[in-house]
Amino acid sequence: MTRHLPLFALLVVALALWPATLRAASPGDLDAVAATNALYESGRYVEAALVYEQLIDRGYESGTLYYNLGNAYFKQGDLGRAILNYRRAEKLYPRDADIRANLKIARDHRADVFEEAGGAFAIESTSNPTNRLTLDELALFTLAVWVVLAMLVLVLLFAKRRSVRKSAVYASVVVGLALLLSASVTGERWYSEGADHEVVVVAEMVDVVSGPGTNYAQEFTLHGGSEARLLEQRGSWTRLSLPGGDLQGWVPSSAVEEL
Amino acid sequence: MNMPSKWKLALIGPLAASLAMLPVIGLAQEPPIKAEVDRNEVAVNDVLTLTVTVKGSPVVPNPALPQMDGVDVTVLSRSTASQLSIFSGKTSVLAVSHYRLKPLSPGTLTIAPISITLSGEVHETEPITVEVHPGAFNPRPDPEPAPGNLTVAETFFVKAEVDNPNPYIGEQIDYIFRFHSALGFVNPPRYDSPPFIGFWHEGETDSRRYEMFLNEREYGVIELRTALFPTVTGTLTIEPTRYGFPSAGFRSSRQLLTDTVRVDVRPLPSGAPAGFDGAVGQLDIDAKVDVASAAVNEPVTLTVIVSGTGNIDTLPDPLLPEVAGWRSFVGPPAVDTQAVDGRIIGSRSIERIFVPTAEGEFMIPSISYSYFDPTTELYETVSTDPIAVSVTPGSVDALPPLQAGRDQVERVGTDIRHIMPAPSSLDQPEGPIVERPTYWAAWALPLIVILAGTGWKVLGNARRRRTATGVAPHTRAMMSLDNARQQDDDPYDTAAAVLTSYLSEMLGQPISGLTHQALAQLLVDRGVDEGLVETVESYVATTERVRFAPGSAEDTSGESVLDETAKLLADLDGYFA
Repeated sequence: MTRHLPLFALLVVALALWPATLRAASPGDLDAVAATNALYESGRYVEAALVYEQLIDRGYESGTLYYNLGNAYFKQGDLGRAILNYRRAEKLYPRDADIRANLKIARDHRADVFEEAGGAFAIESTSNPTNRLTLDELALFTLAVWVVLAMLVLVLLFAKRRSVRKSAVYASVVVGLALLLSASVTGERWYSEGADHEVVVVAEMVDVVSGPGTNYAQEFTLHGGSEARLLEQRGSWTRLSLPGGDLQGWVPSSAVEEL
Repeated sequence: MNMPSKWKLALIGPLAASLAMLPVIGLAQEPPIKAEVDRNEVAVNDVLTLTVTVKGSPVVPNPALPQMDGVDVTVLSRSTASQLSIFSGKTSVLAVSHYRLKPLSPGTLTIAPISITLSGEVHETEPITVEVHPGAFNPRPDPEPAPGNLTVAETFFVKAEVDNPNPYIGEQIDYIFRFHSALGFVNPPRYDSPPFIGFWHEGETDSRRYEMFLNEREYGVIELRTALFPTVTGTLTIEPTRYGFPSAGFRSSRQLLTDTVRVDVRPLPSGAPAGFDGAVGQLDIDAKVDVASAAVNEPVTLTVIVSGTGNIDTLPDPLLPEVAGWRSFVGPPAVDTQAVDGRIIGSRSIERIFVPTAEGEFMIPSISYSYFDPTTELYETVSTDPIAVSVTPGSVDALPPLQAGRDQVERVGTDIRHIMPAPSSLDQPEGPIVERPTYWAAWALPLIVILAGTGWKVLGNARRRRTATGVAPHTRAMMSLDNARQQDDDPYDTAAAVLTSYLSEMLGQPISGLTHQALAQLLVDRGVDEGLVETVESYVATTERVRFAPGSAEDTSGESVLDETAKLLADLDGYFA
């Protein structure tokens, strides 16, 4: 086995260097986050939200930024953008209790009542335990399982003792099944995040009409913070579906924002 | 008992009427025996009722049917009812006999005096005369009840009033309910108090029983008092009180109602002193501390007691003082009330726990309390004396006192949770890692390692095979045995394979298809000793048997089988070399 150590070392190093492929923030931007937090704490929520938005526009994706931005909007009474940013933060930090608590409070404050608190999307996001993991975490977990399986195969190839090879066979079967399961969950999540688009109503109130234009009949009205599934976009109009699927219609795209 | 309805009426009517009159007759201040008829003029064949009432103690004799003269009379029926009553601790019996009489001829009917003997004394009734007219007779209207004869309503009645119909707000008044019974004290009344709307009430504060004379009759009176404190000004109405009069004997139950009572509540007069908070009554205030000297951080309990007459339950608490530099905790008030002579008196105590935070001499200021006294119609203010407390230096390790009146923590408001602090780093990711080539490169890496390992293994085996072809058959056979030892291969399989391969090579022909005899002959032909040939023959037979029948193997370890094979190969190689 010692002859093959360089191969394993190469694998470990490759995985260890993985996060280094991300672009790190400059110290100035980190100071900006701290300064924006100070703005928030002094009650200047509008300015704080503006700076948080600018940091996010610069490409930083952080659950902290989205959560703080959600708070700044909530304090302004903008439930739509508060829920939107809490949902974005939840995607990045799905196990964070503060994000879930504030998201629930914001949902409780909105004008539209769904069948269940938070609507069907909220149920989807909490009932499945794998939803407590991000897509990246699932992908890395699956990769780790694959690496373990590969190591077992190597043991099968090079082990001289028959008993060792026999144990490696059993372990390979178990790890192989785990790899199949993990890869399925990861694939499903990858697909759903790419295929299912959710939107949040950011307008204070918007009429939902039966077609992509103002000349269509009004079907119902949504208020800020309502969450829906994006079905289609045509020009400046967005077709959405509410939890349950019975209610759907078109709204101006400016009235909603995608997660 | 299929009696015609009119006969039932004829029997029950006079009986019920006489029972209704029973208490009236029984309690009259008259001779112990009395006889009366329900009317003094009747027609022939009409029915006349004669009632004879006898009152005595403890027993009364049954009166005999009196003699009747002047007209022929038939006695249709006779019934007797009696009632035992206890009045002022004295037992008396009232016996009433009813005779239904039917005059058969006109004339003047004279009912002779009826006499009885009680305690050796003879008593008798007055004679009664009744005019019996021939044919139909229209009776005159009933006269007004003669003095001394009471109706049922006059026998039992209830009254309600308040002792002060014009009180001040917060002043105690008594609602008085009285039940009058001409039959003396009966069972405890079923008293349904009315809803005292606009009053704070304390329930029954007093209950009395006494006798009184009313319209020359003696009544047993049950009096119940309820303390009321008006809480609003203006005219208040107390709904009638209901009294359930129980049924007894032939008498059905009845319900009596009092009249509605009106109370005009006055507001308190002007001129209230500063600090007056609505207290009404006659009150006093007192204050004390549990210790006159305490250490820093040791609690000092100030107890303030407001006591006196009034609505103690709803009295406002006095304004307790603060002491500069001291922490303080207020506990809930403790109230103790009781009714004395119909008046509500009691005390209300409030505790304040002070915690001195610095040493020195301190003074708990005077506490004032103002109230309105409705008896004098004046505002009064009472005060406590200042209390001195000496505070000594405390122990550094002294624990803070437990807070009085700890409650369940309750949420009083909801807000979102606070923002997160600035992170130690910020990332600018390029989308999910599953969409980055490096991620899939990482997937390929183990695969490459596996392929490389497989190739390494294949190449290694080929190299070993090439190396093995250049050495002597005996050496190769020994290498095979060594490999078998390392890889835990089946020893009999390995031994058979190694021996077969070695002999085939040395004999120059495959031996796997030969019989044991043919193999032996070949070995003999090559000059191998016959003993060794037999050993080889036996060994081959053993390995074959064990290979095809594993259960037939002797208790021989794999290592010894391989060793034995090596020894056999060495012996053979001696001949072939």
